[in-house]
Amino acid sequence: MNRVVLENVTLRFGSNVAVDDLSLEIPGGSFFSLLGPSGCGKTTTMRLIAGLETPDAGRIWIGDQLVFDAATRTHVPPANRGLGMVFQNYALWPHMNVRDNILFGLRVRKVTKADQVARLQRVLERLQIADMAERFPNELSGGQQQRVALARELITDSKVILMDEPLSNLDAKLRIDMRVELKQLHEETGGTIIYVTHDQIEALTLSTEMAIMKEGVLQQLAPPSEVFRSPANMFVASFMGSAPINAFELDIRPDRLEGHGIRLPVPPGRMDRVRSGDRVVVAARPEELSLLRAATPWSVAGTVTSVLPTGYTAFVRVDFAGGGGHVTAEHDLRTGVVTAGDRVHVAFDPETLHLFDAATQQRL
Amino acid sequence: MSASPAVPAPRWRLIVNVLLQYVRSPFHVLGGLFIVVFGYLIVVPLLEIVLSSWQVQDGDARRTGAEVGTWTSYYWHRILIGPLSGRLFWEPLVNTAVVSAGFTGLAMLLGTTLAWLVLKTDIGMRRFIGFAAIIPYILPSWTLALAWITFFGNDRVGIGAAGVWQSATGITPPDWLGYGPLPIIIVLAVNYSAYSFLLASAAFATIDSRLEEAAVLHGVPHGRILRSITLPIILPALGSAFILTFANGIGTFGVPAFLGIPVRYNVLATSVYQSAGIGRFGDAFALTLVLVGIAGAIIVLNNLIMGRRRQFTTMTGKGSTYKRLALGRLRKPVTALVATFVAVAAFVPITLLVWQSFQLRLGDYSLSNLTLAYWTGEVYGIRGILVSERVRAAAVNTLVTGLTVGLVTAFLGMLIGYVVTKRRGTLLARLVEQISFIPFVIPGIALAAIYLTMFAQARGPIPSLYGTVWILILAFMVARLPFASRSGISSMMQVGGSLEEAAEIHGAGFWTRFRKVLFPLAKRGFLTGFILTFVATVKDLSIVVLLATPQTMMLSALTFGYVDLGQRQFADAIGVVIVTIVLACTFAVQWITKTNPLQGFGGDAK
Repeated sequence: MNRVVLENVTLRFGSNVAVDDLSLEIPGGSFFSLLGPSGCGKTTTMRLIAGLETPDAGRIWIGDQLVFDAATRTHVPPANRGLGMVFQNYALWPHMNVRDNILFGLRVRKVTKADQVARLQRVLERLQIADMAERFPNELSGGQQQRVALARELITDSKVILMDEPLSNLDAKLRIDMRVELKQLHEETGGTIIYVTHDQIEALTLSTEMAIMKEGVLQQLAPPSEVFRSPANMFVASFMGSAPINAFELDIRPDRLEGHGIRLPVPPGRMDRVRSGDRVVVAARPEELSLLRAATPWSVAGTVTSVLPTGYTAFVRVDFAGGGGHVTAEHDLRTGVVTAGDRVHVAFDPETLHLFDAATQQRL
Repeated sequence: MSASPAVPAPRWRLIVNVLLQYVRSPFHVLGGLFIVVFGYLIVVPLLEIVLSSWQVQDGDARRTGAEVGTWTSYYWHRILIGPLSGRLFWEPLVNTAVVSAGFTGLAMLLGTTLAWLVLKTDIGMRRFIGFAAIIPYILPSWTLALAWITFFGNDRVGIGAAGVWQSATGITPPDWLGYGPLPIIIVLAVNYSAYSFLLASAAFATIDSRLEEAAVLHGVPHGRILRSITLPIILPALGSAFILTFANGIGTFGVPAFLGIPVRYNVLATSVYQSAGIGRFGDAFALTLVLVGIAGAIIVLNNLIMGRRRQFTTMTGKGSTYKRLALGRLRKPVTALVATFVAVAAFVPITLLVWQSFQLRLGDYSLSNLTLAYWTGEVYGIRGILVSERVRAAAVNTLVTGLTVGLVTAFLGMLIGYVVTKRRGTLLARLVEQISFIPFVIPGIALAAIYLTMFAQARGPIPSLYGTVWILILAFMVARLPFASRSGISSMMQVGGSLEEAAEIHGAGFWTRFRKVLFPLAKRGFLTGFILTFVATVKDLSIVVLLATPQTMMLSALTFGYVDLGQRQFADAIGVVIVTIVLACTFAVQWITKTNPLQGFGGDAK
């Protein structure tokens, strides 16, 4: 029972609402990511779970323990929540060597010497830092410091470990290695990991479940694949994905969607909640579009105006013939070369097409 | 969801939980404690003297024709309008303005020029100049004043002995050269030029050299770069320093006491001393309030102006200086001139004091007049300072007071730093920060006058503290609080945050976190703060002249007494002892921190 539950949690800093009526259920044993742009309240949410901040309203459970309840003013101090936490800058104590850093928690909690030695040995070996026990943090590389910080949390056998952007200070290559390591660690320990990041690739590759936040409000709570394929609203759709998403506000006609030089059929079974005359946002990621030589019912004609190759693929900008609109499509160069000036048909895929209510920005 | 339906909790449970939360939070416990204690030690006394200045004081019933404690405008009328107001208030006010503006301006000019020469030109003997230039700031300013008298004094004023000049040339130096505004301004300017030298050096050293290099590429001549680029960039920083020094300088006591009082040239600080000294506390309070009011207004104004303009934004460079200006033919004479100037300012005063302490008769500079009597012998039945019971008692008292104040204040500074940085921007944090800064605008002599009356009788659970070492400890602690909290805040900014939170999550309580994490990381700052506070306590004259008693004598107060009695040799000998302690401690800090300890401990005119 290592689940973490937040129920209607709100935190204000003065007039600024950092976390707004947030409810989350984080299943025990999950790798749960909190994802969002900076200032979205993800780190604050984690600090609320840790007990480093106190909410103004709501309740928080860790396992079966009610650690915060605004109604009874219950606030269990961080030390008694049974959590581990890896900080963004690792927060290794610079005046203690690796051994003392890792053993600090056990010593404070008066664990026996014999137990300390055994557990230390175990985590040192697991994280491959056994030969660094006597070194001080400033004598370690970023990746080694990261391992020490992980060891410090693993040794306490916490069932829930919080991680605040733990990989953001590492270089790109090391970051990829550590991702693999983190995933393995999670599978071995079976504990719950709550992971804060602004890097969607990290969230997508590591999480079993993720929450996307914006300005303190939860936007979507789902497994990564679902977040990517079925974004709950326009914000999530544009936040996810490596290249900016293409989006058009179109008018709904009885038999078609129209505007910006685009004319598309009405996608079957997805227009129940809107009526003819309303407006709808149609969005497609560059990789969800394809360039064709011949027209289909789901294509729009246009002219290539720029080609930015990135290896096997290229980002191709196409200006629509009917005036106004343009899209960026990711085109596989191995299927044929395009150059500026080519006349092409941009095909939308009715299966992956994202539709949002223009008024509410919610998914249809 | 394990969310059980919300059952309304019993009221007592709520209250217990809320209390628990506050009691468990060191931020709230310490913050609350500081507000209460500092409120009582700083804010209450200020409010009390505001009230007291409008109430008939003990012993004034006959003069005012009203009972003690009743409301009266007698004191304010007396210092602002009455027939003695000129002598009591207006003259000292004008003198204070003249002296403060004069010495601050001169010090800035000297210090900035020196810093420019050392950092931006190819002047020689750079290391020596940099070293010697800061010595006058380490010395107690009043020792410089004593040395001035030793050199420029004549046999008509003050102690009535010829100074070095008069003895050597036979020409009697005019009184205005020995005493009064000119020497006060020069002595304080020399004392403070080291401070502005440090400040300007920091500014010159950290200015982004690319800003200057950009101008070089445009072909702008050297002099023009200094005038149109370098100076305008550092000017706001220097201007702010000028204002802070000025605000602090209006309360300076020691130098005007030695160089002004003998010729009846009073500034507000000496005026407070004289009023309090003859028991006219009503006048002293009114004068104190004016002093605090002016200093406070200047600080507030400075913050208003500086709040809008961030002065250091362009000074983020690594400090790589672009090509130094070649002085050419002028290099040798300029080097000689500057080196001589800083050497004279640094070493001549101490030499004069040492020499004079060995003179049997004052003003006789022949070798046959030298004696050890004032050190190890006996003169007029007074034993030399190294064999005197009285001096030994004062030395012990000074060390005990200094060490206690140093430890307590440095420790408090760290805790204040913790509270202020833990939740930056909250009301409690802001309040603690502001309240611990208030003593910056209370000159030492004013603080002493306030505490003298406040703690003369028992107050609630606190017995009368006058005549005990506690009143000295309290006064010094409060006086040093602004500096201690500043350095505490800056060291906690560096070590606080996630390092402490990591320990908190691992189950360490506040004292464990403090002992195992915060203190070990901030101990250099602690040690520096401790020693500098100790030094300031040993140097101080303004607090001890009113609060030291025969039972709680302090070395510097003893000096003051001997000067009053005309026994300059004793005063000089003790002065030399103080200078030795002060220099040793300051260089110890320099050695510990490997940096210049005086940097960042601004405008400390006590």
